[in-house]
Formats: sequence, C-alpha cells, structure tokens
Amino acid sequence: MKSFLYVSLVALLAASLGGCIVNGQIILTESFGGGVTTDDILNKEVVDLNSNSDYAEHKDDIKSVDAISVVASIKNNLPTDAKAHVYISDDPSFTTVEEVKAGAELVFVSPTIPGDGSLLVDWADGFMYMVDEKPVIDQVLGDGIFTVYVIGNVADFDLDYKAEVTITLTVGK
Amino acid sequence: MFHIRIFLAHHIEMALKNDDRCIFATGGRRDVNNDIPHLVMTCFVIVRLGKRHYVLSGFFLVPRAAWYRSYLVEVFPEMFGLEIGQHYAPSVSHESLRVLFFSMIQGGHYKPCECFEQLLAGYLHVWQSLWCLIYNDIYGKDVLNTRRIMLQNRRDTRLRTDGEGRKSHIENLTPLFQGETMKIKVIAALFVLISASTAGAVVDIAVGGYGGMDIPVANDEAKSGTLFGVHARASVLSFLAVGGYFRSSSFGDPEQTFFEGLPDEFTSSIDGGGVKSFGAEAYVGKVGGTPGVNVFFYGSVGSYKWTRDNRDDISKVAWSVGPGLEIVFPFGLGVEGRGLFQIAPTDNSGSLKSVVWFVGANYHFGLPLK
Repeated sequence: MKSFLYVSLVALLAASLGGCIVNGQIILTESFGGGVTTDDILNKEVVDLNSNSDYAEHKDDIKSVDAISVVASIKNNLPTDAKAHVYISDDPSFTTVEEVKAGAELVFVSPTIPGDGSLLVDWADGFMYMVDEKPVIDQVLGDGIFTVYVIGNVADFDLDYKAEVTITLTVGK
Repeated sequence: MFHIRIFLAHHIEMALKNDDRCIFATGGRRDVNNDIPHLVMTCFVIVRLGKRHYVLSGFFLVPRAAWYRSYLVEVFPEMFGLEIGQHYAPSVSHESLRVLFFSMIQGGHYKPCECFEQLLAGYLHVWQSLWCLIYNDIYGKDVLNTRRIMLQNRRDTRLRTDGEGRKSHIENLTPLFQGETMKIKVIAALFVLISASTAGAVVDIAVGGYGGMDIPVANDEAKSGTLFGVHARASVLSFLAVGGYFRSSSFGDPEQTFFEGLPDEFTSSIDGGGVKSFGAEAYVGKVGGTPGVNVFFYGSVGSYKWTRDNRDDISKVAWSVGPGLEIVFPFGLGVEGRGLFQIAPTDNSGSLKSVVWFVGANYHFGLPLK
C-alpha cells in the first residue's frame, strides 16, 4: 500500500512537472517589408507567418502572444520631420492613405524622423512604440496572413524603410 | 619494613541537586549510558581492519565528546551524543529530561522544575518517548523494555559517598513504566500534540547566504544570469525543517540579428531583467544541523517578480523543488550546495521555468549552552 502511494505521488509529481516543462517561450522574427512609401504611392507588404518555420511548427500549440516589438530602420527623404505609422489589415487592396486610415488598424508609431534624416528603432525600444498589440495578436492567433501598410503622419511624406516584427509566444501542449 | 599505603579516591561521582531535589542540568556532555546502545543492529565489521573500521566509516574522523568546553581542540560528540530514536537539543541533559517527564507520568515522584530548560527538555523527552513507543509498535521490537532496563541500570550506577567514604545507592527509585504502558502512550501522544511547536522550534536554527546561477529553461527572452540570496530555517524535527528565503537573479540579455543579409544588418538585444522572489521553504532529510554531511530535499512557494526595461512586470507565485547537500562543521558553520527547479505558472496555462544552483554558507544556532 505504501509503495503504491509513493509511486502514485511520484507519478503525479512527474506528470505535473512534465506538463509545465513541455511549454515555453519562443521568439519568432518576421519581415514587415521595406521600400519607399510616399503619399502618392503606398508601399505595402503581404505577410504570411506560415512561411516562418517557427510559427508553422507551433501554430497549433500557441497558448498566448506575450510581447510584440517592431524593429525598423527608416530614412526620411523629405526636409520636413515625420513619423512612420504602421497599419495592418486583412485587406490587401488599399492604395491610398485615406483607405488605409479608414480600413486598417494602427499598431506602431515611430519616433519623429528628422527631415532628411534617418532613425533606427532597435528591439528593446520597439516595445515602447507599439500603440496597439491586439490586431497583431489576432492575426497571429488567426490565419497568420495580413497586409502591412506604412504611411507618414504628415500630408507629404517620402520614407524609405525596412521593418521586422518580433513576436514572443508561449507555446506548449 | 612496613609499607604504609594510603588509598585516595581518585574522584567522586555524584549528582548535584538543588533544594527541591531536582538534578541540575549540565552543558554538553555524553550521557552516562552513552555506551549502551538502544538496539543492536545486524551489521558486518571488517575484521581485518579491527577498530580502524570505525575510524574509516566515520565522517571527518570526528572524535568523541569534549568533557570540558575549554578544550577547543575537541568537538561536540557526533550527532550531539544522540542515538537512533532520540531527539534532544544538545545542551539538554538526560537527567533534566527525566525529571520533568516522570514528574508528570508518575504523579509527582519528582517535583516539576521551574527551570525553563528542564521544562523544554521535558517536551523533547516526550518526543523521544513517543518515538520509542511508535517504533516498538511498528517493528515489534522491545525498545520500550530496552529503554526501561537501560534507565534502571543507569540509576543503579549513580552512586554517592556517605560520611565514611563508602559508596551507596543514592535512593531506591520505583521501577519505571510498570504497568503504565498504555497510560504513557496516551499521555505522550497528547503531550506531543500540544507541545509540538514548542519542542521543535529550538532544535536547530540556521541562517545563511548564497550565490549561484539562474538558468532559464525553454525561455528565449532571458539568458543565464547570476543569483544571490539569503535564507533561514528552523528544524522542527531532525528530518523536517521550515524556513524562508529571499533570492535576486539577474538574467543575461538575449540577442537577435535583424535584416540579415542586408547592408543594414545589425544585432540588437533586450533586457533580460531580474527576478526577485521570496517565500517559505520546507526541508525533508537530514536537516537537524548535526555535524557531518547532511543531504535533504526541499520545496518552496513564494512570490516571483520579473522586472525588465520597457516591459510590464510579471508577478506570479513560484514553486520550486530540489535537492541539497550541506556539510556542517562541529563549530556550527555549514557549507552547502543546492539545485532547484523553479516554476512560475502564468495566466495562459504556460509557465516560466528555470534551473537554479547555488553554493552558500550557513550558521547553525542550537540551544545556548550554559
């Protein structure tokens, strides 16, 4: 009887620890595109997280999206200061700033990029400039396919950018 | 030629008593019956080694008791002079234990002593008595009877010197435990329940500090870092202790390369942050603070707070389990090493995990010696 109790206790402990051990935090990095975007010609990037091997491997085991950061290198080609706004949407058909503002969701606002200057938002700072994580979380927990639009916060803008997103996921059985 | 020899007594052994006929408690010493084993266990002795067997089988070759505490080169008796089944604090004398215990169960044959130490000693003696009774019941060994004979023998050997230099028995005590077994069991069991916390809190108290490594498990957001902390524990029983801890860890910063293959490729990092945790611990194993190698397992539960730059703090309840090993030296200092597996469950049915190891030093406080 005693042996049975001990074995049961050990088995219960092992099962509890095992359940806790087989989950963990992973970080996946995915490109948000790059190029020149102006008020006349918007640059957009269709992102398919399924092409990311980490995401594809753990897509069905995601327990939560813990953190999102956008890393960006942005150059302002105009003499006026500007900020870069990053929108995402399921709809890839937007072609104007007005359509983007009306139909997409703002997720990231960069610091001010001086006229004819450039800016680098690193990984650590990228957390601070996320204005709304929920649209990204919904996409990660959804089909993982969405479109990224980058526009300026001023009427006339000409930004040359590169951006990547880092997503911290808790995954496990 | 006549040779006249004068015989002088080398020393006189007698018990010191106060006006109430209570025997004074002494400091650390061996019991009178130290050489009388409670049980004779079946074991093998390597004949060719002879007495060297005992030296080789002992940890650190610890010698026997120091009769005078001023002999600092000597040490306390191994296991504080205790044998299997006993559970005393080191400074509690055998006599003081017996005085109070039997004053209770034998209707005041001895007067209860006002001395706190003797009162405390009585509590502890009950622990031992109950252990003997339980052991007797479980294993069918006549431990109780062995104990009775042993005490009787010891009483018989306690002599005093009368006015003419002859030795005689100091008194004729009634046999112990006669027909009292069940009564003693009930009294002992009840008394243990009542006095458990009082009796246990004084066996050993250890306070120490430590340093080591905190290694995140399955967590890309942190890298291994350093750790330091303090803890304290009190042994409730020789195999059970409870305590508290405070730990502070500093994780390393994870790095990531961005825009790989592009002219703007660069490496960036995020703050691994630090974890501060505190809580309660429970130890099972050899945790009585006895000199030698003590091996134990322990578990803890407490507050867990992970703080990082640009991120919200994570405050959770963390659990940890792990083994430990402490080498306690006879002068009270212990050097220990521990490992533990720590889990802080998160809201999303996930968890933050880490493996921790550290080494440290403890100081053990026993009962104050007179």
